[in-house]
Amino acid sequence: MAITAGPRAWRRTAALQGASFTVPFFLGFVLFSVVPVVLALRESLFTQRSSGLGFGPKTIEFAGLDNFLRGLADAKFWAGMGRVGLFAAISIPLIQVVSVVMALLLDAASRRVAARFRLPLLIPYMIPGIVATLIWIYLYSPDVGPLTPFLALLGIDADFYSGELIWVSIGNLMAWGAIGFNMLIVYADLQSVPREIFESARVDGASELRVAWSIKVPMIRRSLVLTTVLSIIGTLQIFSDPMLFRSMTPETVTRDFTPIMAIYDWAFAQGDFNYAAALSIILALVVGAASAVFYRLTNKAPTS
Amino acid sequence: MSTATAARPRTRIAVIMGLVAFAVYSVAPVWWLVVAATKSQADLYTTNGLWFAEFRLWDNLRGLFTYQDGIFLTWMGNTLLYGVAGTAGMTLVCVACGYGLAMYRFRGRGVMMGAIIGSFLVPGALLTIPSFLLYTDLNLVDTPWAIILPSFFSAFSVYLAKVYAEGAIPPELLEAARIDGAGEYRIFFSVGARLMSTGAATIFLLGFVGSWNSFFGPLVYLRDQHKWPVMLGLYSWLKVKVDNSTDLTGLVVVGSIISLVPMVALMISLQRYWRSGITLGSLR
Amino acid sequence: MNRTHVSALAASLTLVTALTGCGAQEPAGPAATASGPVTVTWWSWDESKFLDPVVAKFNATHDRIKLKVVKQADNPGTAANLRNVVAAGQDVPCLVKSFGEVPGLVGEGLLADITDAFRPYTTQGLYNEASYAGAKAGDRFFGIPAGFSPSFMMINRAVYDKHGVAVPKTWDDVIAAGEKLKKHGVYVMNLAGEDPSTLVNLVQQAGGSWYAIEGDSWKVDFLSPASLKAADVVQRLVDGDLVANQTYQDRPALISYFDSGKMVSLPTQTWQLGNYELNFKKSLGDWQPIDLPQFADAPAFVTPAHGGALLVPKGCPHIEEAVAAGVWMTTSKDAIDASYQQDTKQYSWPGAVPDPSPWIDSAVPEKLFGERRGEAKDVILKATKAGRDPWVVGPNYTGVFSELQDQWAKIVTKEITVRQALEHLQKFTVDDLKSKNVNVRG
Repeated sequence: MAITAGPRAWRRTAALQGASFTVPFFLGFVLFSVVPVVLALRESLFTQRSSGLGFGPKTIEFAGLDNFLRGLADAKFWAGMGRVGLFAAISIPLIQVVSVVMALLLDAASRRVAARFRLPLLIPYMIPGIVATLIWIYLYSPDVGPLTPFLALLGIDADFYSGELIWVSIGNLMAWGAIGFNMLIVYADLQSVPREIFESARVDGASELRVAWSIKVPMIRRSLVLTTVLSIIGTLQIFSDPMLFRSMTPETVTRDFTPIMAIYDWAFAQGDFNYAAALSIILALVVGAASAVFYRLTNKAPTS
Repeated sequence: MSTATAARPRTRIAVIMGLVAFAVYSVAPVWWLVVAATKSQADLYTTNGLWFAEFRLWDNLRGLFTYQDGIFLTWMGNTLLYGVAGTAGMTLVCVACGYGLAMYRFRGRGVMMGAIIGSFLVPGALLTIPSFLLYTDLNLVDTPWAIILPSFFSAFSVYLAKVYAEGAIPPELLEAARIDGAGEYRIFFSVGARLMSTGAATIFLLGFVGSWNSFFGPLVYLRDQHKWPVMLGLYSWLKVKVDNSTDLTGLVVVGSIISLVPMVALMISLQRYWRSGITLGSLR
Repeated sequence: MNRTHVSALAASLTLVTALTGCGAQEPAGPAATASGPVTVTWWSWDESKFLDPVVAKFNATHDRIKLKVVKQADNPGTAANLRNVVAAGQDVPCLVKSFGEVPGLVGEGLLADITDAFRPYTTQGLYNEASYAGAKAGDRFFGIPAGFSPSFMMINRAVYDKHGVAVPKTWDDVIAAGEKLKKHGVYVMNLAGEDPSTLVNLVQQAGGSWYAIEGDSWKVDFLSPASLKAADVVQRLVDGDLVANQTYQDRPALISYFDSGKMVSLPTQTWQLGNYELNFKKSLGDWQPIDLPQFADAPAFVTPAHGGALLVPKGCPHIEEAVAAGVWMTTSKDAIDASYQQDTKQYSWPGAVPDPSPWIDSAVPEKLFGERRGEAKDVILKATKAGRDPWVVGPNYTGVFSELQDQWAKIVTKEITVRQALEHLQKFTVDDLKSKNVNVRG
């Protein structure tokens, strides 16, 4: 069959068949993801103007890159970006390390022990966000929650609703929900690796720690890169957690506290959807740049 | 079992201690939820959150299943439908795509990977109105398809599938199958899909949990509350207190515990896919 | 957003035809049934138990118009959905529970001018005239007046008596009470850092408004005498450390705090009473309904009564019928009676009618006020009759309110004074209107 047609033609047929695996996905992807993005990109190039008392219909004008230039000079937007960038730089490594340690522990345990722990470790990830919020509002509450009095016993005066601790409170809320997710992705990668590879190292007398660090971690680098990039994106686009704390400490969490909060405010409170679209694109570019830098540092191009 | 027997006792104890610590951090906060589920609405706010008051769990459960003619069960059913149909389709579409991207070299592959990664970067806020206009044109609004169909095409799952395929499938194995005369589609189903079972199960679980907990899409695309999934329903109950003279937080607490049951069941039924010790030998 | 572009892009994809095949067709819209009754679709995020009986009653008593309710998840969800359908111009509802100030929503281009359809109803004595302002932008109606919930105060009388503090009649009395209560570790009021409504209500009570229309231009004045009078009360409460700052988000803390007797006066409205009755334990029966405190120099007893509206969105195909149904919902005895709830024995508050007295008794819960329950009726009726609505807002109020929230948080935590906040808002509002090319002076 194919082999008789010569290796090159055979390769080409195989590649074409391989490409066909991606067709169903890309048809839907273009329709449901690319089309809306193109439409939104278009919005960012226009601006709307009122007249009179502002109650009549608006005129739509082509604005070129005006919205982008305005966005680049928007000090409050960039202040939010800096705030979130700093938070990401501290929280993401922490969350990643914890998730990986958890995955490695689970992988190192016997099958029976792992089966016992898998479910409890994934509970926070399965708890829906609105319920997690209810739980942590209670636990954090300086008035009725248990954490403040508990820490007071240790001589620590902590108000999780205050402006000083807001990033700790947000970080823990995020970590509690995210660790299980990251852990599962990494763990599944570990579990797909044929066991023989680890066994031979153990036979050579390597300690479990050494196997984990020198063999397992390099094996899961790809999924680690993925979860880290997702964390970078998710953290730079953080929205619902700071929105919650807007009520707790509104003097700290202003309407443009994070980039996405500013975008929502521009779109739905200030009523400037065009500008909000431009800010969204700027944010996407920044997030893209941050992810690219990270790839570069880990020396692993995404398309390789 | 080979892993555990090989480990030294001290290592084993350290591993278990570590797991216990993580389990406590993960599960302890849920204690409040469990206690709260047994309380009446007035006790919920005015008694110690960490301990029981008057035991009203049965009343709460009865309230949950009878409120508004038992709409909670309708919501659970809808969620199951959207979750199973959407995630099953998604897993098939995305695992195939990830496998294709990982195992073959063809023109346009780089662009595709770029588009997938690029799509992660787009903030959702940008897309709500354009997406709605699109769904309106496709006549999807207020049909279950508005939830099920778009969930098939998850860029994240494709990327994940590609990562798992690269880790789990040695290219030589495919070469060997080709030399045996197998076609590419047959190789996918007989070798690729089997080796990717852990990855596929993970993708399914992540997709299912995501779909189970999602409420923004349903909020925007579904009108009739009898089509809502459970999370949107619970969300609307939670918001009742904001400007109505009633408070349904108690029902939300019980409802959210009940809503975990299918996910836990799924988790347990997928356990076998995370068994250690898939070996290359067992496949040959 | 331009719809033709969506269609063009979508149509260029071969998938589209296949997809439209799977998507079940929308039920035929009201336009399709020209000969039969017209269906008016109503969006609300109230609980179904409040909505369904009203719809049933309407449909039982009307032949030409049928009312259909679509339950929404919450306030912001309704806003998002309305923006979407107005942009799409398809399946637009005809009545929507209000999620913001009418002029702000008109400024966004979301609402239809219903003045011609509504005006005939204004001459029939159906409405409390104070309720009109909340449904207008400029002098045009964009919604059906839904009226207001009368404002009064409830105080924890047991704690007031225990510390020998007199019941306040003026805001000066409230401040004086606060100073006495402070010595016993009790706060006189709560000002949540996220909610500037106390300031807004005080400005309204003082007869002020931050916006006014002069000819074809806006006049913005955050520093009017009325506004500064309100600012003074807030400033003295904050400076004297007389108020708590409990957030509404932390519900268990808020409720147990209110219930504990450490915070003893709540400006309130009828619709909130049910919740207090449901959640309070210890302090049930200790509370007393009293008249809303007044400004010392007020010439007459006044309560702030800025009304809401039942919105009629742009793109509603049956404005006449929507207005008829909306007027029935907001004013008819049938509609109000249909809202009766067996379990709580309450009606939805009929905020738009001239005389709500037949429904007042049921608005007062059984246990909250204990033996003083009888006083509530007079307090509520007096508050209704004294309701005034001088409040006008401009087309950018949604955004200004967002800025006001940020400023308010800083007021409550003493980072800035109320006056500084008002000066900032003056500049912010004028600049914003100018940037949108709206005529403004001030």
